[in-house]
Amino acid sequence: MRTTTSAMERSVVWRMEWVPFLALLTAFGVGAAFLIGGLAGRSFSLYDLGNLITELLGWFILAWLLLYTIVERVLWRRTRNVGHRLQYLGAALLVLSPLFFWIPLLSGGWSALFSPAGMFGALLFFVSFVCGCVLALAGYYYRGFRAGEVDLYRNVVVREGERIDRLTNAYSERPFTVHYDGLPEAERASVVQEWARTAAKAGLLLGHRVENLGTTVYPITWTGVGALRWGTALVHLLWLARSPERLTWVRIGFEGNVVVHISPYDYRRIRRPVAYHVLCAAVGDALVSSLLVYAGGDVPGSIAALTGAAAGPPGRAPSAPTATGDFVGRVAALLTTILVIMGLTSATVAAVSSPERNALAITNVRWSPLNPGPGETVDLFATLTGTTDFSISVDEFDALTFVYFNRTDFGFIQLRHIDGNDYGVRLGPFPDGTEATILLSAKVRRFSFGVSDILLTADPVVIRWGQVHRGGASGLSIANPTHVTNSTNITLGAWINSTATVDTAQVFVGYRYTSGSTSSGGGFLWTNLTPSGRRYEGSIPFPLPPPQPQGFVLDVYYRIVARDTTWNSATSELLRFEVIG
Amino acid sequence: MNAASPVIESKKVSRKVWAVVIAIVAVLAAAIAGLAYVVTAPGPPPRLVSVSYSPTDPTPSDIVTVEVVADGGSFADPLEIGLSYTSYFAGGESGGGGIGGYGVHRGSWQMGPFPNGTEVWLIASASTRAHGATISDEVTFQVGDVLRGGPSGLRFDQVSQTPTTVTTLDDVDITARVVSLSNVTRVQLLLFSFMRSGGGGGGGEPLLETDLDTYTGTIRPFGGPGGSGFERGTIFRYRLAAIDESGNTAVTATSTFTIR
Repeated sequence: MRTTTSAMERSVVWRMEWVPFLALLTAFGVGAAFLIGGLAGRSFSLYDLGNLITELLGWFILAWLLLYTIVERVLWRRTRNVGHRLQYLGAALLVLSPLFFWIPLLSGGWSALFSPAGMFGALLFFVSFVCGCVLALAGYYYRGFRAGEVDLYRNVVVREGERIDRLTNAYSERPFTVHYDGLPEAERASVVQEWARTAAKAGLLLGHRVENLGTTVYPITWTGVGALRWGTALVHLLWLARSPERLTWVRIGFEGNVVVHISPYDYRRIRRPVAYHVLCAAVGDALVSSLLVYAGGDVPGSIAALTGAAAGPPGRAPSAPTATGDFVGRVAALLTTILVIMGLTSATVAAVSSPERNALAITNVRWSPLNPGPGETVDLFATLTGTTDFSISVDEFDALTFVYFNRTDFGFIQLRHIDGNDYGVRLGPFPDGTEATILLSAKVRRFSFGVSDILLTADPVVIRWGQVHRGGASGLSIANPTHVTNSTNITLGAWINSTATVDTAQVFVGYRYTSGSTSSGGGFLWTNLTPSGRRYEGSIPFPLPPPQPQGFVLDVYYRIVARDTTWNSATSELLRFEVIG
Repeated sequence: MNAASPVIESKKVSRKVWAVVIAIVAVLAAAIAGLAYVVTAPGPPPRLVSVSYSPTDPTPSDIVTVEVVADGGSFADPLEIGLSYTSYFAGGESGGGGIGGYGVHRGSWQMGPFPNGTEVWLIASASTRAHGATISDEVTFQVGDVLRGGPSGLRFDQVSQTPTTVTTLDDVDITARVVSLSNVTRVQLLLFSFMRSGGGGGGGEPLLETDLDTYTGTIRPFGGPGGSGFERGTIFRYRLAAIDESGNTAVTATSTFTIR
């Protein structure tokens, strides 16, 4: 008999614990093998397949843990058994602790993850992970809390069903009635209820319901969640919540009648043929025996009557509930609450305070001196907000600079890194009457989930050295600037009006390739505009260097400037157009 | 039935239970706080304990090993130890490297072998993110025979730096007058920079002769968007080295400036 029991025990442990574990291990091993094979053989498709398998496995385990948490919480709410409480708390920690990583990473980027609050959250993740594993495994395996696979199937139905050696008829779902001698009248209701509560805390009964003629108890059900049986788990969740009458139940009448109903799930799990009525009789007998022993004052004996020597080795049987169990459960609940609150708080603080939540932009453009005199240099600074060392790489940061009226050179000037997110450039010195238009642009790469190129552009700024004459009596003005692009050149022009002779009419052009197979490069050009009446036009060759293959996008900025013989001056707006080639 | 009173037993010990629970929570909180402090504390500032090299009198066939010992830093802000070196006159090799991480307090680098007549100048650094870099005194050694104070009278005269106070947008012009009875064959600017964040660079570049006996060179940013290496707080150390046709050599004292 002992050998048979051990064999049964090993068989159950193999099917319920080792098979699911080995299945997960095998899936992980296959994924890892593909990953390693892909890396070793430089096969991206193999690597991607391995990556997909391991990622799906990770999400599968997380979803399973979530279901496990819900199922164990429902069981705990029904039974108040400390084993189920520890399992649901441990599983909840395992499910929630990744949020300590994900919240900062998804909401605040890598810099949030590596901030002090993020690091503290990461520390709490590791603490929570370890605590979660310890709690869940203790709740499942520790003999004092043994709640994992303690159910009617393991401890009553199988024990009774397996010892029936004769073939009988099949299952027909209907309540079956057996009889017992009854309890003393004065103690009937209270004893049954106390027994039911105690058996529930031991993890053997889901709960009970008091009725006029007796008390209905629901033996613990096997949810299947521990063995990765998702369908069984979901069905049991539904029944637990909505249709407890579909589970196995036993109504113990005060007058000696015992009505037994065994659910289809519990009946089907018996591998050997057994008559339904015989099984019901055995189950009813086991429960009533436990009740009567309990009524005699022997709590461990009443537990043993349900688990029995045949249910497995003593080390795997549940024990009577104790105050220590309650204490452990409360400490575990408090610990879990503290860890979750601290972890989520740290994660939220890290995410909210992350500099990456600021939008990427060129801001705080300032220069000194504000109104430079002739021959002075100007130091121009700007801040690249939203950038961090962790996730943003600044590839280019330059100033498209048009200097006119006295100079025609310049173009793109690279800014220097000053400190933190500040960059700067020195302009000048320039003679009196010089004006400069500066357009700051930065090209950055964001590393988050993939790499993305981002082009940032600030509003243009205009700086004048000394006295630049505007609005003079000659009424110099520039109107209707236009651009026309064809396959060989870009023609730019405008109407320039003045009562005086226009002695300077120029267009300054800056361009940058922003997309295409060579999404970089740019340049600067200027040309004099030729008058035709009051219409001034000039052309620049197209395509613009450097040579680009088909599929490029070209950003072109231009500004037309003019000065007449009275030294009155005017400029157009800084205009932009796009050329797609 | 009297044994079936787990709830009653639980209530009897509830105050003790809660006292123990509160004690456990307090201990746990203290442990987490302590752990958090250990994980995030910046630790003591970096300090260079020693910089040594062997063999102490290297010959042209020797590989020279430089060992730097430093302390400071913490788990969250570990120590970074760096070494930069440059060689001149006969050789022109420059290099260095860094090593860092929690528990790292010693770094070792190998350089050479250098040709006969080489002088090697090296500087070690130790840095943490919180406290920045600490830079060693300069270490110089010669490989083989390096002629110094020879009959040609090679010497530096009127070394100047413009501007003297350097800001982030400045370029620094170095001008020197080199005097010798023999023809001056090469004048070099030897340079190390140490950024506040722990990075840096260095090397040597020839100065251009712009006038009779007058040589100039410019220190400006390198690499990066618009040039990095001129960030506020970066420390520069430089010196000039010259050699003439007679093989006589001269070096200036080390000059330092910090980007404001």
